[in-house]
Amino acid sequence: MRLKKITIISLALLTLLLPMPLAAYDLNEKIQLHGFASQGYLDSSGNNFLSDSLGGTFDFNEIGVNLNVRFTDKLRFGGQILSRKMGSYGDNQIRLDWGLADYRFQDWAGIRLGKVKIPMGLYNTERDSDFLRAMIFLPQSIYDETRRDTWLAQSGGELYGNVAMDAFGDFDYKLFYGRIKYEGDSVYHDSTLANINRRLADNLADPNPDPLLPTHINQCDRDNDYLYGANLIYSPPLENLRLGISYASQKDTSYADNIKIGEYKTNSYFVFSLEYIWRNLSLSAEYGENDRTQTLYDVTTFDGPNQAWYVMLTYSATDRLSFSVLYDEYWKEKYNKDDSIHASGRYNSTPWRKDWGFGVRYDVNENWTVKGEWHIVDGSALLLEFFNPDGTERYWQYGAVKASFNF
Amino acid sequence: MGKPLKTIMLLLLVMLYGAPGSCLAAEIILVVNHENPLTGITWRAAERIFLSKKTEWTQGEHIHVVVNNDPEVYASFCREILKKTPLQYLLYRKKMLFNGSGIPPRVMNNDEEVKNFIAATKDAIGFIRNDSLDFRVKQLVIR
Repeated sequence: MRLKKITIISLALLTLLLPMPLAAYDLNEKIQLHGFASQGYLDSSGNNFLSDSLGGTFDFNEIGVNLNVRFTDKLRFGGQILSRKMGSYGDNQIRLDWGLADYRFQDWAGIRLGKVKIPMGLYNTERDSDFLRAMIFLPQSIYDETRRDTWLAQSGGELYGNVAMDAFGDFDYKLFYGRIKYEGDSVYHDSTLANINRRLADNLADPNPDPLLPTHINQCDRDNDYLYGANLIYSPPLENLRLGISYASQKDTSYADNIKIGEYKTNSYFVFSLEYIWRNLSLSAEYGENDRTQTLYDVTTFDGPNQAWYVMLTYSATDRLSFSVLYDEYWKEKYNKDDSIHASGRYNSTPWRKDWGFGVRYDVNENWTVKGEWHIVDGSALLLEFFNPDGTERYWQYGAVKASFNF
Repeated sequence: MGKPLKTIMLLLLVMLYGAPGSCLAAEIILVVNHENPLTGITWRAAERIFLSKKTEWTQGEHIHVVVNNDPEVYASFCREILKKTPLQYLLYRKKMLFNGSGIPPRVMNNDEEVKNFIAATKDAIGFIRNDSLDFRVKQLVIR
């Protein structure tokens, strides 16, 4: 383990110290090698966010390397490996982030097969590349980091293309179908295991416990049965305006100690998106609802849509310096905004998340980016009990600084 | 209009119109190989080509796009043709690389490199300063 960490850190340092012409390998558009590395510091007050962040943590990094090989003008192969650490998760293990064969028949029709990023909303496909966005964290209502394994990438394929409509602009479309592979050491996996065991403990403590339920489980697994969806981005004749709609549906089967215990189904998940760039201002706004049903041990633990939306404004003060302000709102249950039952079975009197975020980004040059941000939050939705075993506070804050390098 | 409101309006105008890098304003033109039969192109089509949405000429040949990274030329191109800041276009191209959706256009350092490349590549397109146009390449007028 120690040797692996040393190797990764050495590779990262080597990459950072390489002169640019050596680092970015570009051979006549045929072969391209690129990569990135970032290191952040995350701190919070009131609650732990994504990790044991109350005391501050430097366990917040990503390293990625991608290779693209163009065989013909229409055929390309590419892949990216990613190593990340978020708190005690990821542990800088190297994994395939995406890897695909891409054949573009025409501008309006192409196909990608392999492990392909899931195009939900405007920014999901680049969620691990910090330097590609204005703020360190994407708006959590739509791009919930605790559910990243569910919506990151799928093994299957997508049909895609760009259709020009002359005076009416153009639209990009993607139709995807595949399966998601859940990692066994993810935050989501461990929090699900903890939640199930809490429910089983509650059953034992009940005056009339269900005798058919186990007292405890040692492991849980989740298999994805299917995922399909579509993404449509319309660019009307108005300069730099993008309007989008994304849709997805998926179903998982849950197992505890290799015995089926339930299902998780996304009945329908949609996101409406808007992005508009005008002079030095960039406006992004998205609205989404995820209608899902979960059953565990023949009990429906939740059923219905959540509600999520945000508005973000970014002002580019210079070509290198930008400031962002974000308002991000999430409701666990769209039709019940007063209270809810957490996945663990515990009562939550503040099942919303209203997040004001303020961020600054400075691009030192084309390869280096430094960012900082602070968030003021009302509500405890999306917080994992797993990280906050003693309960959560309604009002809390979090902030981060991060330096990223890419070549 | 009260004084505070006037001050805020003035600040907003400075923020919006005091464009970063607005002092950089090279006159730029699109250029193609002499064998390219086209003489003009719509602004919309030019935008789609440099955003890698349009990858084939109407005759069916693959378009070889080259981005001129001379800071002044690049900034003018981004603002005048793509209506984006230089950073926004840079990030657009990087997104293609890092999310697996494609390989962005090749980048060259100055007008000379762009002209030499286009002169040697039948289906190429790029942009240079207006006053550096010479016999090696042909201007493609934006209609």
